[in-house]
Amino acid sequence: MSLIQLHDVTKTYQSSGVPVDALRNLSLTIDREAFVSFIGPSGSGKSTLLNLMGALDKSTGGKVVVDGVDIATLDRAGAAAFRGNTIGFVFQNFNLIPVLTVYENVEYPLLMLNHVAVKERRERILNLLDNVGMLDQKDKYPNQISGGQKQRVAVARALVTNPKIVLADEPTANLDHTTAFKVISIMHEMQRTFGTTFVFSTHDPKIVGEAELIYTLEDGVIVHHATKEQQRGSQ
Amino acid sequence: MKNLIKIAVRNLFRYKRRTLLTSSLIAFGVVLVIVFGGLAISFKTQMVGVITNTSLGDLQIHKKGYVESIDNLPLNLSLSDSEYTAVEQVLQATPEVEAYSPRIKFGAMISNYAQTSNIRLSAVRPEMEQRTVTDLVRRIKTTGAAQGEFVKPGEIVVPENLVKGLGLKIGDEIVLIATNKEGSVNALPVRIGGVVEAVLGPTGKDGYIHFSDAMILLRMDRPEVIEIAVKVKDFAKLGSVSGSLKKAFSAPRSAAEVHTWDQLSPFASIARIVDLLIMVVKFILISIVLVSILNIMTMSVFERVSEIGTIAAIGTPPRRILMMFLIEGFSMGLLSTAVGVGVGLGIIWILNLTRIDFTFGQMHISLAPSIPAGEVLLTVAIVMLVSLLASLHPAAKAARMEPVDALGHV
Ligand SMILES: Nc1ncnc2c1ncn2[C@@H]1O[C@H](COP(=O)(O)OP(=O)(O)OP(=O)(O)O)[C@@H](O)[C@H]1O
Ligand SMILES: [Mg+2]
Repeated sequence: MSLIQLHDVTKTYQSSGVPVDALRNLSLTIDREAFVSFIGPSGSGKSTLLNLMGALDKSTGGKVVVDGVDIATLDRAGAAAFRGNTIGFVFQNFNLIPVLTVYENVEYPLLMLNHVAVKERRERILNLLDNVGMLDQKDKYPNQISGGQKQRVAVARALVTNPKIVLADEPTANLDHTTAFKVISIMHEMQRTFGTTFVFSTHDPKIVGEAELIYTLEDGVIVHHATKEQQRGSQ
Repeated sequence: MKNLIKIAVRNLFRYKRRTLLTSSLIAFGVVLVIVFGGLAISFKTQMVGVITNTSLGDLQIHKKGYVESIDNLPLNLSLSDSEYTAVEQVLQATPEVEAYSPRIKFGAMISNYAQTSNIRLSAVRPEMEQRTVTDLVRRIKTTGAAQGEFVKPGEIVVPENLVKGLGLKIGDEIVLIATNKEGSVNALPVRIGGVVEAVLGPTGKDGYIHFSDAMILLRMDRPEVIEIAVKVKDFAKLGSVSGSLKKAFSAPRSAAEVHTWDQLSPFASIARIVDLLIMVVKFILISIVLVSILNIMTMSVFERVSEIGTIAAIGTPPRRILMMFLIEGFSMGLLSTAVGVGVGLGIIWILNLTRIDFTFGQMHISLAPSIPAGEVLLTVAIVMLVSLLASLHPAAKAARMEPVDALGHV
């Protein structure tokens, strides 16, 4: 069974009384350990799609099943617990907690889980910080590090709970090209190391090239999908 | 929990100036309550102390119906021999009673053979009176020779203002004229043995004579006690002592009735006003805390919308978000009260070094403010509780935010 299944999913927003279809009868599946990217013009529904997969929002039609759980059945607290256990998030604006140090930011999601022992917690955090190359910065606060560094910390934070899926909505939009590339390669490396499924959205065609599977969205429907190799060939 | 507190406290220190401003305001409110409370409570206890320890006693027992017509000092409403004995037995059987003093109270004329004035007299047994109203002797000026009893048979202690009015001095012979309950007028010459400072303001014309002299002047064969002043061992327990005495005299055939000092003295209303003022100041404190915590927490929530979205997205349950903001508001209150209590007690300590003296009518009061630990704890509890209540609404708002909306907020 696929890790993420979307069946005939529709999402309609009410924008000052006018219904806006952000996603229209969209169906797709994403398998375990995939490294998937969504591209498409602004307003095509990328964020909406990732929000549904991440149990941050609910669809207005169809069915979203993630790791065997029908998202529609979750209440607020249930959705929070589901996200904490199953999903890691990386945001466009990094969204680190400003009053916590790099180390504490990575630690935070683990504290929501309660079942990870102190010693193991520490090992995991240090190991991840080492993996993303931020170990020497662990006692700094977010406002003392650069954007690229923040996003690397955010990747470590997303991975610390050993989630099945990491969702990243335009994780590189606020980074310069080299840094963006570095962050994506770290994500890719993490995917290989931990077997995590990565799903991200982007505008940047060069970053897209890193993905193994690429979906193109337009007006709330998937208009194209291709593997890395096919994408290269078509360019 | 430890982590929640850490985040809450760090968030408080994130906006240093704002936190400082708000907590100063709350601390100021706490200082106000403590210092004002300390002064007011001390003023009240001193005032009550003066009244109960120099004239009234803590409570009084009279013949039923006497207090209703107390202004006329009626002599016919006295306790008979057997009635007095019954009261005495109850008083002696009540361990909380420290001392009691039977009095005959009546109005009389006082004359220095040239001028005449009126006077209210308390005829007492000095040794019993002294044990009941312990500070009375300190207010009596005598020739100095009089040790022990402050008024002896054949003597009178006159109030200060009569001394001035009639031009009297200690040792002078005067005559007392009084009407007894049968209506016959009698006179008794006595010598001025002492002068008493008026306690209850300039209008007080209260003098003291010996119990036996009153019996002669009023032609009593047997003692007819008008009033029994009672001192209790622990003033704080006055309510329960008077309650049990009232119960003891509640039988329909019982001749006596009990009144506590506050039912007998107009100064009780001042004490009540003081209590009211303390309450008003506490109410001000509550308002300060409510408004400032509500304000600062609402700002905190609105400023941190996307942060709330983030922690919600990464798995923080709504209840934990609620707790986080409640703890933040609570810590704010705690921090401010700690400072306020410290400063407030400091001010009280300094005021104690430089006692405040002032005269209230004829009452000299030296304020040594002190605040009972219970009052301080109550103040702390009020601030804590109100901080929590004020944080509730903003915190609930934060907990109810939808993560998608909150994340989209920049
Ligand atoms: N909260 C909302 N209320 C109303 N309409 C919305 C809301 N969120 C998104 N939309 C609309 O839904 C459509 C899809 O938006 P979405 O944010 O998913 O696009 P996107 O592909 O992520 O765009 P971008 O590349 O600009 O981030 C757009 O037309 C957008 O205006
Ligand atoms: Mg988007």
